[in-house]
Amino acid sequence: MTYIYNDSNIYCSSIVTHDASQIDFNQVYPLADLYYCHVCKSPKSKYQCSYEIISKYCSNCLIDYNGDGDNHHCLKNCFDCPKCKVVVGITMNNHDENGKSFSFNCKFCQFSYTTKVIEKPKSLISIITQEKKNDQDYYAKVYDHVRSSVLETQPQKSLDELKVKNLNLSTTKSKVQKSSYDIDPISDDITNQLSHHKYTHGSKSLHDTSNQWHSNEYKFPLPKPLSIKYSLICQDCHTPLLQPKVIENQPTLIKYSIKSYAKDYLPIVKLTKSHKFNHVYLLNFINPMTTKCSITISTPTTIPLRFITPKDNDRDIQITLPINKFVIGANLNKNIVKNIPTSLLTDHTSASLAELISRNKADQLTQNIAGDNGDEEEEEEVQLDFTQLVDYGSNWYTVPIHLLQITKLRNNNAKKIITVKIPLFINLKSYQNKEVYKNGNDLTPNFEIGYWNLINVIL
Amino acid sequence: MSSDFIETATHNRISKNSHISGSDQILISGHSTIHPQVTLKGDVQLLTKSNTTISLGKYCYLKPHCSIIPPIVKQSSSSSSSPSSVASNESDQTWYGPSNIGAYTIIGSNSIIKSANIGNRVIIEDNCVLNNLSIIYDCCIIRENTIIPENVVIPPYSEVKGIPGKDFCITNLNSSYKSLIESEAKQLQILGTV
Repeated sequence: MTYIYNDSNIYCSSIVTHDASQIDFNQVYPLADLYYCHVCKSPKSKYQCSYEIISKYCSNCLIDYNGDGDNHHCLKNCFDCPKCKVVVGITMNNHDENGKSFSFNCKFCQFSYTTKVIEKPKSLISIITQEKKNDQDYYAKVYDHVRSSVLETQPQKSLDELKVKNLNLSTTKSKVQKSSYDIDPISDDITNQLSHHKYTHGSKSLHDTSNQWHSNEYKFPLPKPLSIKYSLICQDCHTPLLQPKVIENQPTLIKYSIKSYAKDYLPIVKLTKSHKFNHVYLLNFINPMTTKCSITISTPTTIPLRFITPKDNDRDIQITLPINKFVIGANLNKNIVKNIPTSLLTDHTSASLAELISRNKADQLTQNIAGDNGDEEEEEEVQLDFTQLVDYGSNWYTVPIHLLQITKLRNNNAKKIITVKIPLFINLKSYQNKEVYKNGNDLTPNFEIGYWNLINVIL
Repeated sequence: MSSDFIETATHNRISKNSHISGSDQILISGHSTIHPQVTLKGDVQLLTKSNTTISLGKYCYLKPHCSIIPPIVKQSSSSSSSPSSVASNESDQTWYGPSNIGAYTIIGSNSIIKSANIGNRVIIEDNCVLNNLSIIYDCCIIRENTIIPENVVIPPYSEVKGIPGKDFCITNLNSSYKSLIESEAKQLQILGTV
């Protein structure tokens, strides 16, 4: 829908590989979701970081819960619908001199719950907890009983273990084992009831009880879970990558004392189709840094089969990169139009069209988009004219990429949409990074990193 | 295409085919784009003494066929749930509250907005319904075909998707999206719809 959803993902894993075929698709992330560690000099996903909760608050009533250590739910009058997981409306009903009751109504679904008449003032959460306890279903009662009996036997078990140690008698040990799993008369009753229930009703009864369990689960409103602010620390070098500031009485205000996002260091890669040639795409690299950087891109000559969907065992797609090394300027220009690559400009607005004309690329719009049935002679001409597609601006650089044998592949899958992930290994070298100097984490003037970038292309 | 738009001194681009009612009660800050068939219902009776029914921050981008309707605060009719709150001679009367939409907010096609407040840097994708008096805080992304029920508060830095009762889900959004959404809204203003 929008420009931020570009089809570029970065492979980010603790397993470093230079072989494209070893890339795990479960460990590729959009650039916006990644952090950058100055010490490790690599992008980090949230799964490579450890968390620390800085503050907690209720997103509904905005009450700060920083002091409450183990509390995970709002203690005020914030409840979620158990079916929709959205906040329910609460109304109070007066029962003359007898007391009050509270009704919970979901404004989206049919869920509603009314508490019993309360005579003494109590918090809503304690009323619901108490009613939940009193209205336990059969299996919840069994669970509670087993839990309580296990907790009761634990000290006895440890005492018996001491006895075994002291006396060192195997007979005593067997007795101890027996006593630790002893079943009291009440448990016997429950076991009998359960077995009776099972044998008399069979599988149908099990289905019925599951329904009963679910009906009970959805009966009570759920206390609203708290929202949190957290810091992120690199698991490898323990460098803080994200550190929020805690400002009193302003839980929704989110400011950071440390933030190290990958999008501030790694170039944004956007793919557009060439208007002039068949099967030629344009890779637009946009430098987010305030210093210029050198980029070297490399890719396997043939795309591995697992990168193509649907899989075609007979055909391969070959990639040609006419230019693989270039330098991108610094992001210092505050004029937004100047920072947009030419291939992304449109004629929808006067500002964009004026910029397109000023770059002498207006003829680009009048070019007919080439069809998909070009012959081999055209393919040869395309290869010769590749360099004219190279373009660059203040902080961006556009290089063409040619995908060979697409025609044959499309013939095989005439009605299918073919999605290809192009693996690009990007070697980035920054000439001078002032921001790293400011943070004091690294004193080297330049930084150099290499990573895999997967570009999705729909053919 | 640009001839279909009226460009104001504050760089707002408003389509001639948009349906704006009560324009004297609508405040548009600047650098905003309103596409054809967008409905802004500004001619409503407010409960408070405020003059502004709909306010848009700077760099707002309203895609075609979306509607912004101020939230209903109080309604009195024969079927009203709280008839005691309204005098009997004022039957079938509806009072609205102001709808505030923050800066750098993008609203997708066919979306219906009845929220009381939408923060800064929010993306609402296509075909979403934000029901009465819902509140969206800063830096949120509401995915396609999402329905947000009445009175729901979406915390800052959240990604919301799904339909309540079916697959409604609120997840955390990386804080790096703050600047991304901002630059996105600025770029849309220059480039137009993709």
